[in-house]
Amino acid sequence: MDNTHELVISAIKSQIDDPTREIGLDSRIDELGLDSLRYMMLIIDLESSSDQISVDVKNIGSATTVADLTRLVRYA
Amino acid sequence: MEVIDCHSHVASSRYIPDEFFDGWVDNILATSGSKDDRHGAALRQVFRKINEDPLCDEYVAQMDEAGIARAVLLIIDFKYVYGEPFDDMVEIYRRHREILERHPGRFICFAGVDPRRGRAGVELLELGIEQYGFSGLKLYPPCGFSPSDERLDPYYEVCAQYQLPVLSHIGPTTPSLSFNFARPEGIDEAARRFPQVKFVLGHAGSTHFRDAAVLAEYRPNVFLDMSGFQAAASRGRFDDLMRFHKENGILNKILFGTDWPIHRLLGAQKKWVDRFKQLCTDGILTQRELANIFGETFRSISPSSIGAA
Repeated sequence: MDNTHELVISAIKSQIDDPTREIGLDSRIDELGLDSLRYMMLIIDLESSSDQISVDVKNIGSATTVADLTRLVRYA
Repeated sequence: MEVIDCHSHVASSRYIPDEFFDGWVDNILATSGSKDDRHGAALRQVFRKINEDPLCDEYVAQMDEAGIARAVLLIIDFKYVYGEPFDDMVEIYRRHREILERHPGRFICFAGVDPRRGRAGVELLELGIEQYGFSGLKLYPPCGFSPSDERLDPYYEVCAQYQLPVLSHIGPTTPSLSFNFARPEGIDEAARRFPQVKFVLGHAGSTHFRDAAVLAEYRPNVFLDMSGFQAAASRGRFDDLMRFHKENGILNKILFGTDWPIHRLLGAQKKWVDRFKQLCTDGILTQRELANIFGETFRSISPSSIGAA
């Protein structure tokens, strides 16, 4: 698991009710218990985590797994 | 089964101003309890990015993936809220016409007019219908007028003459606008006085849905669109919402809509179409009921729009 995966999973855990929950690359986003507000906060947590990082938000709606989400994180 | 999205917009700050989303950002941050100063800037940036598809090329790609045959593009006249950028509505109409021509057969367009434009607004509506091929009227009452305001009567007379539907926003919106005129019952007097005009209550299948369902049940010319259901879906309430409409016997008054690009972050268009299809898989809707929601009911209230450019 590289740094991007860890960054995404860490951001997810900061938004879900049970941060001890096991989350992997194959975890489905719609099964994480994130409502629309928490999902938006997850995205902006990633976006604002570093000046070097941005998220391909135009395609984020197509992400169904944590791995999909990880692929949408971009580095400057 | 043909899918028609009855509620969407062109993603562009020219038509949905940045200030509109900025109000949402303020509300999202307040609701989330965020104390991180970076969040506001990041979220504003995110909304600007999803609001960039001025020719609808990305939208059509998502429609193709989702199996959406046609979508209604709703123009909003924000002149009395956001001022100068909306002074020249003819230019905004012209650009929407270009989108219709760029993607033949994929879009239907409803003209947006604020009734405070008076006679000029009526002429604008007629221009939209006759010159630009628009197929309905879009109203945005949170700008500061009631959909039953008598100043709208000449607009409704035009819609009656051309047999075109009216789609009026219902429910809360960006916090800088008034919610006073955004309740379902605001449409009641207009629907009573113009029984020959079909009124679609935008978002009212998911927002203020209990009050809206009463109107849909007892007013033959009142319909509800489901756009905004994405919030209910993300909270696990969508199945119950659709069961409610079924139990109230108004499924034939319900229209599929997504409000593209507003909920783009939460899912691609395919996700939302599939979510409705799942209702059949789960035994909540029949295939016939789904076909009506997806397009047959819209065809019945807007026959002139089918086959438009």
